[in-house]
Amino acid sequence: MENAVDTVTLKVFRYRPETAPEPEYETFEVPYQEDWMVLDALNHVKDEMDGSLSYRWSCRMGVCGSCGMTVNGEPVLTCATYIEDLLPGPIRIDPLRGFPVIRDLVGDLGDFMAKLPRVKPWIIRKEEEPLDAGETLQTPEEVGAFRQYSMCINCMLCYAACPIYEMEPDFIGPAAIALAQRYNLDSRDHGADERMDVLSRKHGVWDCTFVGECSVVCPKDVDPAGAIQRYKVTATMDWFRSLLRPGRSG
Amino acid sequence: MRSREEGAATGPDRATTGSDRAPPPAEAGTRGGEIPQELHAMGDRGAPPVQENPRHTRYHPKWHRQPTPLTWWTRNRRYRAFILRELTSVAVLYAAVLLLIHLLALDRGPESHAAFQAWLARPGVVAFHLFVLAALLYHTVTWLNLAPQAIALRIRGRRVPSRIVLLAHHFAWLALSAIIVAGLLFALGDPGEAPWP
Amino acid sequence: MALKPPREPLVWALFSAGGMVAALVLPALAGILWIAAPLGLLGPLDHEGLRLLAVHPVVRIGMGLLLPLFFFHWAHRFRHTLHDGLQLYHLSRFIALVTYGVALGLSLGALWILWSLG
Ligand code: SF4
Ligand code: FES
Repeated sequence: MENAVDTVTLKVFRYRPETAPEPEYETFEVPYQEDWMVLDALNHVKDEMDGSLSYRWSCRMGVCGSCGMTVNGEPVLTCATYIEDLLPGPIRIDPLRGFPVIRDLVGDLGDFMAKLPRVKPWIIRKEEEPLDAGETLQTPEEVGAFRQYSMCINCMLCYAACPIYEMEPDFIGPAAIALAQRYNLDSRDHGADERMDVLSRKHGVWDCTFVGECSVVCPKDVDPAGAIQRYKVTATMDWFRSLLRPGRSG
Repeated sequence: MRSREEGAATGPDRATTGSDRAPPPAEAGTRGGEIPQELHAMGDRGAPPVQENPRHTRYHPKWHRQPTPLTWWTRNRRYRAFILRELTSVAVLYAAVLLLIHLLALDRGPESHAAFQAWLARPGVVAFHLFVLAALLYHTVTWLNLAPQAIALRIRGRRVPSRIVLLAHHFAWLALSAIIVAGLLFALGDPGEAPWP
Repeated sequence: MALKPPREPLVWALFSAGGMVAALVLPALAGILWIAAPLGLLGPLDHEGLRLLAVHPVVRIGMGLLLPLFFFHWAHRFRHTLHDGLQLYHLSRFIALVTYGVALGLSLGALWILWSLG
């Protein structure tokens, strides 16, 4: 192949339930170029070697969040992981941990899709204001309060990195809590109480033991682990407050 | 950024149907029968519905679930550091119990305290206590290092940089340690006199 | 009525407070009391001075606050270590009841001992 600097060995997780009940690893010898990402190598396999290989990708620039896989045991965006950094290989590619595998490198993310709306990741207002009241302006400080949490691209790397989610799939999980926090901290939002009902319940924030791995792998520096700990502080203060005011307890 | 936020807000909305753990009665009736169109994860292609309960995917005949090994915490360096950090709680328990025993030995009079000191000075016990001290120090360092991630201090609308929060914690630790050490040295060192009111 | 484990915010608050004070005071206490002193690094020990310090009301009250926090810090953390580390999800309630129960027992014992000192 043109400009190829060398070849690298990919050990790719294959799961084809129609033909083989058990997953297996398949090895591909891929010529690569200096600036290739792992995703480029997978695309090369699919285009030139085995068209049946299944995986997700779209933007190739770390924006869509669909190309997350486990590369050499670490959850990464394959479109943002240089082959050069993983030499001499072989490079082992597995699907994201914690999600049931539909085929090859494709996991079923339905669980997250079902959990996400439970934390109501949208702005909740006590009263809708009429349109002609104008925009609801925010100061840079007010935006800064939640901006970090709004960077999430739903790539699910944090779920794959979380041992608790892997073992306890009912746990609502890092990104969902970070997104809840994103709206809680928004000065336009009044929905914190509603979200508290969901997150302070069983399998909300309390399943988390601050392993911290979610924040290590997050490609967007969202710091879901920090969001969860801060949420625990808020939930605890709320609980103590509710003790003092016995009238309304959650 | 704006359009993405809206996406985050509307996207999940569509998925709400059938997502709640306990389906409303109307939906419950459809179980086992025809699956309503909107429950299909992949539209009309006969794909399985979005799972109401993640545990059920374990029994999905065609999906593969890798069981978590019992020793998952040995998987990488950070997981190992994590499990060690969690196990320091045992050292905290031990230290608390030993403090209590130390108090009792002191209270029982000079002989019992001397016996306790002799036990403390046995080489095996010293070695074990060095190990406990290492665990306690590991607890301190990991605990203080995580503090800035859990504490979001804001002063006049601006987030206090986590480096400052970190430094403040370590400074508090050093200052308190100095006070404790000074107090104990004072109490231990001046035979015969009681400096306490 | 079946025994119920305590509410999460309560045990988490105890765990956090205990972890913080343990981080701040335990290394210094352990280093002096159980390493430096018995090794003779501080010269001959003054039993009476240490005893008077130990039974001083401020120290006693302080211990009465700290020891239960340490116990509950252990209980909460160790509960999760067992529960997640060994994947004992089916024993969830049992583990919680035993760990917090032990912490409660130790705390009451410690308070009783501190009360009867001197
Ligand atoms: S929080 Fe980070 S790792 Fe998790 S889904 Fe969002 S972008 Fe991905
Ligand atoms: S392909 Fe879009 S994030 Fe990697």
